[in-house]
Amino acid sequence: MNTLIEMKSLKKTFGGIKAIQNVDLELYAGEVHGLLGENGAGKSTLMRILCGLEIPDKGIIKIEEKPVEIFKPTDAQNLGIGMIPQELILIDGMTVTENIFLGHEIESNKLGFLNQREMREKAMDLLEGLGSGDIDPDTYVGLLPKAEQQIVAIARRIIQGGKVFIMDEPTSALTENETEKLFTVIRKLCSEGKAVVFISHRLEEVLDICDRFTVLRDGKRIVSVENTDQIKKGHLISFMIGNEIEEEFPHTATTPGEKKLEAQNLSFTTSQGVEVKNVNFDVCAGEVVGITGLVGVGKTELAQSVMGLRKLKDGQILINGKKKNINSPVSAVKSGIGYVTEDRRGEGLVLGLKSLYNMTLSSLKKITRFYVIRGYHEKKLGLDYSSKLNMKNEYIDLEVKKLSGGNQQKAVVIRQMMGDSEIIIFDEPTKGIDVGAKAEIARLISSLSKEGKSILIFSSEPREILGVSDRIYVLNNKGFKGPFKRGDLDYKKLMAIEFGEKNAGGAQYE
Amino acid sequence: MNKNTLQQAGKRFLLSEYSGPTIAILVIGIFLSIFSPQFLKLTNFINISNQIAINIIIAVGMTILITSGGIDLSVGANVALSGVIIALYFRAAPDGGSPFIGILIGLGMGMLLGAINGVIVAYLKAPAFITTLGTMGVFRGFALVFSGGRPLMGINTDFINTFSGFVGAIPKQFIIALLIALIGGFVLNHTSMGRIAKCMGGNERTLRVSGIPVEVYKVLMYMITGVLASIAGMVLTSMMAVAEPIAGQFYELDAVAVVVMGGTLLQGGKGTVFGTLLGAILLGVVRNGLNMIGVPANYQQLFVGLIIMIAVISGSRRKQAVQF
Amino acid sequence: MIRLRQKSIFRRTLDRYWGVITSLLVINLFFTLTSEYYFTAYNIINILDHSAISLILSIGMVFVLASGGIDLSVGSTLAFTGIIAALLFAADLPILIAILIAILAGMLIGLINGVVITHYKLQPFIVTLAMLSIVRGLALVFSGGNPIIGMPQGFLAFFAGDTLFGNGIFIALGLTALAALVLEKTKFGTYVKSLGGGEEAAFLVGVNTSKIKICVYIISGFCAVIASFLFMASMDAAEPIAGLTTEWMEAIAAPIIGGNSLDGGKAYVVGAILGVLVLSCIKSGLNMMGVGQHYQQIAIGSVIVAAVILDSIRRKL
Repeated sequence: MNTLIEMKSLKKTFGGIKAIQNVDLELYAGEVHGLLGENGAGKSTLMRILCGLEIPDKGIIKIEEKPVEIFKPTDAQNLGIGMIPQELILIDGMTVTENIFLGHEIESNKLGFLNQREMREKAMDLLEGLGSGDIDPDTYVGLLPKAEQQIVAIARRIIQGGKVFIMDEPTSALTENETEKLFTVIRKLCSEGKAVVFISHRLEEVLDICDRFTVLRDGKRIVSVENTDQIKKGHLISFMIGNEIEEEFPHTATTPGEKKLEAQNLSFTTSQGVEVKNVNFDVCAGEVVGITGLVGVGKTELAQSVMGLRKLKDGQILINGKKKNINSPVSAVKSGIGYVTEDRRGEGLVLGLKSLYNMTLSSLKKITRFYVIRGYHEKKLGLDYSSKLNMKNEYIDLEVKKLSGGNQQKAVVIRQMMGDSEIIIFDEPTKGIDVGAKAEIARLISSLSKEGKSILIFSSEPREILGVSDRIYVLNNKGFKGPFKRGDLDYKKLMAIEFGEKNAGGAQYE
Repeated sequence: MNKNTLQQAGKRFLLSEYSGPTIAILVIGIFLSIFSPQFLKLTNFINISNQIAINIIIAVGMTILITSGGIDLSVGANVALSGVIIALYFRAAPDGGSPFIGILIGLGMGMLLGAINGVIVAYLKAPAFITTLGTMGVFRGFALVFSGGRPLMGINTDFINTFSGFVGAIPKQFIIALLIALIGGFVLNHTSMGRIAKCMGGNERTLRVSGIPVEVYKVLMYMITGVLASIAGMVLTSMMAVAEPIAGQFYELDAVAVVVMGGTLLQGGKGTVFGTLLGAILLGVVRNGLNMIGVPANYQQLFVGLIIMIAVISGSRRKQAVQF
Repeated sequence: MIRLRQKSIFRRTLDRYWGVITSLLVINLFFTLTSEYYFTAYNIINILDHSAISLILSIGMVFVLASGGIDLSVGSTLAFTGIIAALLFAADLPILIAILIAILAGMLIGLINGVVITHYKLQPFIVTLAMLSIVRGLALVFSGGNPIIGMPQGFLAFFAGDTLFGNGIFIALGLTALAALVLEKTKFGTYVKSLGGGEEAAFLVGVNTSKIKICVYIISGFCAVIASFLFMASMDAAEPIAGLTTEWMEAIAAPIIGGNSLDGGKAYVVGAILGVLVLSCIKSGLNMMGVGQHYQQIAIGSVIVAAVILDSIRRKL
C-alpha cells in the first residue's frame, strides 16, 4: 500500500476555538477515503490545511515519506494536491475550455499566445474520458447545470496534475444518476493511482464508494477504518455524534397559546438548486418549534423565505390566522417577525459599531423622540436587557467585533427582544459558540417562549434541537417531515430521520 | 483629579483620528506665520473662513453620505445648476422676486437632484461613483443650457444679504457653514438618520434584516447631500452676486478630500463631521499658504489630489490594522 | 463521438451586439433624416477620424474593466503626457526620444495607479480619482496653464497625416486589433478576464492577480499617451485641459455601452468599437442639428447614466 500522504499531529486553533487537535491522517494511493464528521468537526479545516489555505499551528505533513511545507495554494498544487470545493469556484463568464485550463494554459509559442485548438481538443478528450463528451467546450460555464459544472471542475483539477483529489460534498446537488456517473469517474481516477478524499454527509454514498473512512469529532480523529460489509450507517452515526450527551440544553415546559405563525404549502429553491415543496408547519405562542436537517438541505433558505429575504415559489404564510404577503423584511418586521441570522458577522451585526447600537437597531422608534436619539434612554434600555442576559455592563459600549461569539449572539438576540417581535426566528443560534454560552442561549430561548413569544429555530445540531424544542420538524432529502413531539424523539431516531433514505435526487420531492 | 482627566483626555485625543489634521494645521500654521507676516492677520483669517465656508457646507452632506457607503460626485454641478435656476427665478419674477421663494426653489432643486441620484443608486442598483459622474455631466449641461452659457446677474439683494455679508467681524457664510456643521454632526451622532447611515455603511444586510427600508433611507441620504449642495450654491451665488454655470468645478473633489482627511472612512461605517471640519480648515490653511507662496490657483488641484491619495492610503492602513 | 462545431463568429457577434447595433442604426437613421449633411462622405470620415482618440482610450479601458477595475485618470494622463512631449519637442529633443519619454511617463502613471490599488487594497475609483487631480495639476504646472503650440513636422506627419482619413483612425484600429489579439489569444488576456467578478477562482489556481492588475493600469496609461499624440497632432498643440470635459467619461461609457461590465470578466473589444461609434454619431448628429456643446454634455452624461443602469440590469440577469 503506497502511502501518498501522511498528516501527523496536526493542530489548528482559531482565536480560542480548537478546530483541529492532534489529528493524524493517512492517505493511500488508489483509494477513496471518506472524511466524515458533524458540522464543525474539523473536516474542512483539515483539508484547507492540506490545500494551503490554512497554516497549521503544529504538525507535520509528509508526501511520499518526505516532509513538506504547504503555505499557499500554489505550494499544494505543486505537490499534486488540489480540492474541488463545494461551491466549485468556476468562472461563469468563461468557457468550459478556459475554465479547465485556467492557470495551466497550453501556449503555442513563447510570446504567451494560446494554442486554443489544442486546448479545445484536449478538453473534449478529457470530458469524454469522464463520460461527459456531450458537454460543449465552448459554452459558458455559467449556463451549465450543476452536475456538468462539477465535471468541468474535476477536469480542471485533472489538468492541474497530481494525485490527491479532495472533493467537498460533491453530491449535494446531484440526482441519483448523476451521482452514479460521478462515482464511475472517481473509480477511474483511483484506478490510475490517484487518491480521492470524499467529504460527505450522505452516509449511504460514503458506504458505497469509499474504501476507508476517517471520522472526526470536535477536532479530534475518532477512528480510521476500512469499509467492510459489517459497517453500517448506524456505526458511522455513532462515531460522528458520540454517545455521551456533552451539552445541556435546559428546557422549561410551557403551555402553548394560539397559532401565531402558520406556513402552508411552501415551496422554495435551495441554494444548491434543489426544489423543496409542501412545507407545512406552525408555531404557537409560548412555543419553541425546531426545524432541523443536514447541512445544505435548505434550512437557511426556508428561514429566509419566512422572513421575506427570499422569494417563495409557492405557498402562504399566515400570521394570527391572517394571510400576510411577506415579500421583504420590512413587511416581516411589521407582521411581528424578527430574525436572528446564521451569519452573525456577515448579516447580523454591524461589526464596527458599539454593541449597544446593534441592539437598538430594531427599536429606534422606542429610543427616539422626533428622530433624535435619547442617549440616556438608549443606554438604560441596553443595560436592562444585557443584565437580563448576564452580559457584562461594559460590553454594551464596546465595538461588537471585540466581543466573543457568545456575547455577539446575545447582542443580536437582545435586538429581537427590544424590537418586541412576537415571532422570533433563530437560524443556527449556537453555531460557533462555546459550550457555556450555548447553554445560556438555550436558556434564553426558553425564557423567551415563557414570555409568550413564538420561537422558530432552524438548526443542524440535533442536540440543540432536541434540547430546546417543544415540537420538531425535519427537512431531509425526501421532503419536510413532522411535527414530532419533544418526547417522541431521541438522538438516534432524529439522526435516522435526518439522513433519510438513499438520495432521491434533484427532482421534486414528494 | 483635574490633572488626571486632562491627561486622559489629551491621550485620547492624540490617539483619535483628529490628532492628524489638528497637528497638521498647527504645524503648517506655525510655519506660515514664520514665513509670512500676513498670515496671522485678521483679514487673512476672514479670507480663509470665507473660502472654506462653501466647502464645509458640501462636505457635511458628503460626510453623512460617505458614512452610509455612498458618494456623490455631482455636487459641484448641483451648486451651479441650483444657482442658475435661482437666478432665473429672480430675473423673471416681478420686482425681483422674493428671497424666501428663491430659497425654496434652491432647496427644491437640491432635493430633486439628490433624489435623482438616490433613486438610480438605491433602486436601480447602479454603482454610485459612476452614476454621479454621469449625472454630474447632465446637471452641468443643464446649467449651461438654462443660462445660455453665460453668468446670470440680477440676484435679489435681500437674498444676497441673507447668505453673505458680515456679522460683526465674521462672514455670514462662515456662520452658516458652522451651523450646518453643527447640525450635521448632531444628525450623524444623535439621530436615527445618523445611526442608520452608520449601519448602512458598515453592513447594509444587517439593516435590511432588521426590517428597515434601506432603499428609502439611501434616497434620503442623497437628498440631504443634494440639499446641502444647493445651499452651497445659494451661498456662492450670494457671495459672487452672480450665478455662473461653470461654478463649482472640482468642488466634489474638495469635498471628498476633506471628508477623507477628517478620518471618515471611504468604505463607510465610520464618519465624523468634526473631522471633516478639521479637514476643511486644514485644506483652507494649505490653500492659503500656497497662495502666499505665490502658487496659482490652477496648481492647487495637484495638492488636493495628493491629499486624497495620502488620506485614502493611510485610511486603508488603519482599517487593515484594526481588522485583525 | 460527434465533435461539436463552434458557432460561427458572425452568429456570435450578432447575438451579443444586436442591441448596440440596432441603437447605432436607429441613431444614424434619425440624424440622417434630421440633417442633410449628416450622411455625407465628408461627415462620415469626420466621425471616424474623431472616434480614433476615444477608441484608443476605450481600448485601454476595456483591459481595466475586464479586470474588474476602472481608471478615471486617463483624461489627465492624456493632457499631461502631451505637455511633456510638447516640452521635449520644444527643447529640440529627437522626436523619437520625446515620444518614448512621454510613453514612459504615461506608463509610470499607470504603474503607480496599479501599485497603490493592489498594495493597499483600495478601490480603483478613488485612487484613479485622486490621480486624476494630481496629474491634471502636474499638466498645469508643467505647461504654466497655457497650451503649447506647434508640433514638429515628423510628428504631425505620422500621427495626423494628410491622407483621406488621417492616420489617426488607422493607428487606433491597429491598436484595437492588437488588443483584441492579446485579450482573446494570449494567456495574459485570459488572466485579465479571470479577475472579473471577484478574483477567487484566479487566486486559487495560482494566477498572480496583483501583477495582472498592475499591468492593466499600465496598459491604460499607455493608451492615454497614444491618444494624446493623436490629439496633439490634430490640434497641432498640447493643451493642459485636454480630455477634461467628456473624453475620459466617454472612455468609460463606450465600453459599457458595448457590453463590457463594471464587474469585470468581459473584454468585448468589438463592443468598445461600437460604443465609441454610438457616442461619436450622437455628438456629430447633435452638432449637425445645431445643438450647442452644452446640450451635448447633457446627452453624453445621460448616455453614461443609461449605460451604467443598463449594466446594472444586465448583471442582475
